[in-house]
Amino acid sequence: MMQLNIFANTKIRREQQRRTDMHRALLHYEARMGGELFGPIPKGVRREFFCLDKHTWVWHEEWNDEQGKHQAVTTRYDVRPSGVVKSQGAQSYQALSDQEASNLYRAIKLYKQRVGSELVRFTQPTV
Amino acid sequence: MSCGCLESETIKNMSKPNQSPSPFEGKIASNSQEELFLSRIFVINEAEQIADQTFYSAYPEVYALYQSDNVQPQLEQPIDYNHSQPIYIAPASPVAENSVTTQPQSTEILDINAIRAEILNIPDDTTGIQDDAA
Repeated sequence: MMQLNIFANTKIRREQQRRTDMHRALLHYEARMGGELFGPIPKGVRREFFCLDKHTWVWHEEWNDEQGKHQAVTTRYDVRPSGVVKSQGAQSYQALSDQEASNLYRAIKLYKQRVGSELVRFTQPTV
Repeated sequence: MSCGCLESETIKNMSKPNQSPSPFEGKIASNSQEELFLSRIFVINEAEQIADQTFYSAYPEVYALYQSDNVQPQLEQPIDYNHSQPIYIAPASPVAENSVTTQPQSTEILDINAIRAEILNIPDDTTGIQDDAA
């Protein structure tokens, strides 16, 4: 009986881990596609943009400055009924400028069109 | 602190993402993989709808401008990646669907096939423990 419980628990853990791995891989895929929405990515730059959840969008960028020092910035956009706020690291929430809001809105619409349609293709294999 | 100096930044040489054919087309994803894809599609759809509502009420001008479908991408200065301060606080303008496109100039071409393989080749282990037990 105890052995069956161990097997059952092991199976559950493996299933959870597998789902976690799949979800992480899918987010990684979306993030890379999202980063490409803004055009070619310069050499040495890593850019990601993705939908974390239904209220949150993430922009992540890494590059080396002229001293060769690695730099990275992650910007989180929280879409609230009253507006969008962003946060970077330990900084407090900030409001968006009109231009930034426009850029974000267009990015969200394009993300839905392109990344969303890619995911649909996964579920609808061609014959 | 808001720098704002790159809030209007857009990118030269705009292009569509690399769309190479998938070796997985015609291959059926497992049920759990399909569940995951569908759940992400649902989340993205919901996120778009929430954004629509928020921008409609909180940024009516932005919403109206987008809906007018007259927004064209602007070619502006390339991002200065030599800066040492984390000043990149806004996504650059994304590429419009109807914009003139060029081939990607990036040296890091998005390898969609590899990424798909990464996703779809995660084993769908639904019978693993029974096999182990046997």
